[in-house]
Amino acid sequence: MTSRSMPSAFLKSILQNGIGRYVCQLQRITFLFSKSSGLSRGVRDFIENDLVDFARKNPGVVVYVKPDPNHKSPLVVAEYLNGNKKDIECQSMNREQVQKEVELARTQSGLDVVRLRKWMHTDNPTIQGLWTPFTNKPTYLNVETFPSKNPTWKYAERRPTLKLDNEISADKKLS
Amino acid sequence: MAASTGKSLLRLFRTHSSFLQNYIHFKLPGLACSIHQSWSVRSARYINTSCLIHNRFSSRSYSGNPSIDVEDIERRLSIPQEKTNAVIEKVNTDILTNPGRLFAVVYFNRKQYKVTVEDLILSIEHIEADIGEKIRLEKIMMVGSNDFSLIGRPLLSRDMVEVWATVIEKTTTPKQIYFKMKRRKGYKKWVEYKDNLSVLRINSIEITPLKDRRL
Amino acid sequence: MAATVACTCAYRSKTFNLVRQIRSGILWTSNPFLTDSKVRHVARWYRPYMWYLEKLKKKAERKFGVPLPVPRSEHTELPWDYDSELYAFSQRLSEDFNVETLRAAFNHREYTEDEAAKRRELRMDENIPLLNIPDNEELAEKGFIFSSEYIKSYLRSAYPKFPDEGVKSVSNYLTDVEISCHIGRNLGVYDLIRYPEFPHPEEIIQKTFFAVIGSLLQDKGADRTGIFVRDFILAQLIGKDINRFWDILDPMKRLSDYLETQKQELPESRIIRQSGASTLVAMYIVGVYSNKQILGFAPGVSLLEAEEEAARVALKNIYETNPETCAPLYIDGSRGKVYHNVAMKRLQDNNILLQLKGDNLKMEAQGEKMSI
Repeated sequence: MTSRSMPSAFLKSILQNGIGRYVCQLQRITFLFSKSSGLSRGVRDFIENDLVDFARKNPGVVVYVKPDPNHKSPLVVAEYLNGNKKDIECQSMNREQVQKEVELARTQSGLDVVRLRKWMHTDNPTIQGLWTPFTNKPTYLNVETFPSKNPTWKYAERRPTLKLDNEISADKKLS
Repeated sequence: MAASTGKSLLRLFRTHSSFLQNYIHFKLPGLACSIHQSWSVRSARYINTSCLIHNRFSSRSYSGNPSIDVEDIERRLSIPQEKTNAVIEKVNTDILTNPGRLFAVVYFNRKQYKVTVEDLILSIEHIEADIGEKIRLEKIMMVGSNDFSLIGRPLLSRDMVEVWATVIEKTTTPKQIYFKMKRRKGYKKWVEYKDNLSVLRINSIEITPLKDRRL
Repeated sequence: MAATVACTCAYRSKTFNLVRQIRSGILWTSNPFLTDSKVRHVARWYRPYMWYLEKLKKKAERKFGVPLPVPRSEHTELPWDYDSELYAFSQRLSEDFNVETLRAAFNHREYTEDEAAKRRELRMDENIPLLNIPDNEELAEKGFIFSSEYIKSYLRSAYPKFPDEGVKSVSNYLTDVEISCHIGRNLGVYDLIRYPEFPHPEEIIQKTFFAVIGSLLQDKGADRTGIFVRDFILAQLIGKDINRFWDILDPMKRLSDYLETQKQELPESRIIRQSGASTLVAMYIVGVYSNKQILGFAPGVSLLEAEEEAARVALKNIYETNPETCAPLYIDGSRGKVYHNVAMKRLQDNNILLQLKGDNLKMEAQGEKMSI
């Protein structure tokens, strides 16, 4: 169970969500439970007390409730807009635990829950420019033969007579 | 010597942060700093240490509304006033005309992030705001563009910079296992846990021109 | 003896359950942890049971073949209600769609024909309301034309100096199958499509997506639709360099033409830096100047490549689309609003909205045709 063997991913979002308008990624949620089994009790309590409020608050989520004798231990299936499906086993959970699980399913984006490698994602890693070996170097070094005893950059800074500007020292015209 | 005192100071911060804040406030006015009310104790500890490092020039106490005494800096570094004025004017015109893409260093949930517009940031914390809600990131440590950088000491003024973000996801980490065992001692510890995560999208970074030679 | 019998029954029911679930696309397994949450180990029966299930699954696949993907509406385990899905679709995107138009937007002509043929075969009544829904041909075309026009208009207001060729290529990229299909899939369009073939082809997803936009245009007007296009299609430009969709073949020629029209001095290339000129890994940085003012500079492995790249950078700087120096493309916020208003005004001035309102689309004159 090392971190190398575990799946990992980078931080991302679906369809640039959050720019323009926000779209809740939970598409539909299905409750499969038994009407009589004790294992389904928490889910039944949740459906009785909280489900209508949940559906009213989230009109964009389709809520299905299906009593099914095959599901003695209940299953909540959350389907997301990116096509992912998450099965939540709510066996012998109480009402609060089911509430928590449903709330978590609502706020997730449907991407796989894996280890994230970075704390942030950016498309513009630099604004002031990348450093290169040429950054802040005088251009006369282009025509210098090395090793030389000519001034370094620090020394040159104190001598304004030296040509330091790109415009002046770029004197080699291309044919 | 200095390093060891610094270390012991840090250790003391960790243990008696509130006491030390008072101590610094009353006994060492040159290094003075006090806490903004809305900061949690944990973040205040961090900010205090950075204050100690950066407050070399400032004789003012930091109390929620940071302002830098430009005259004082000029006097100490013997910079001519016209030069600072020219720089400030240049930055102001840049801000007003077209600053291009901006970046900011924001302090959020005891971590620093360098962000620009459209970035995603992640924090190991449950945020009270619902998904889709916009929040304002208040602690801005630095703002910059292609041509200029404004550095807060430690924070920039609230009136000057506004960074807004949308909460786009509140999720958890996968199950993580904390396992400790000592051989032949009958000692085992197995803890399974999941951290809360929240993902933010940076919507906008806006700055207003500098006023009255104060940052 | 009684216990054995009970076991066999459970065993049988599990097998039966499994085969049923494999067919319906759901593999349900029982909890490997015992019901008592204090027990921390995985039950002994779990791994053999999983092996057994795998074996069974493979056997079933060998016998009946790998199950084909089933549309969500035909899942046996999970329920489905088309009307609720339609309602939720419009609520999710925070748009007030007219449900009937939306229903038409998802309904393809092929689906209606296919259903009618099936009914004829079964000698059923063909005049069932389901088959009287109009198809989405016209909506798709309207949506496509509006989207591409709006995108162009928005880009023109955001990048006023970017030439029309570039704007068109960006618009083509955004309305192409790849991107629009990607958006359609991630907005929940896929499950609602009514089309006989499954899995649905990409062109059909694209067509449905534009039909949804067309239905919004028909019911809620151009302003709302413009914001919809901006939020969902134009947002896909984020993180992408808009210059890369438009390939300039001879940048130096274009640059000198531009400078000529502006009555400035012709471009002049000069080496700014060079390193390792006599080696295999030579590197040059060439700057392009006009009237001793630098227009742009770029690196390259040879002088010619560096010069061409520098000319490209110079063009980017002139068009104000260089992502390194220019402001980002604003989608929301106050600037997004301004761009939207300017774009809408331009659409009105060009009479595009009037043309879209008319019943007969005569967009052939503009050389635009949907590539479906």
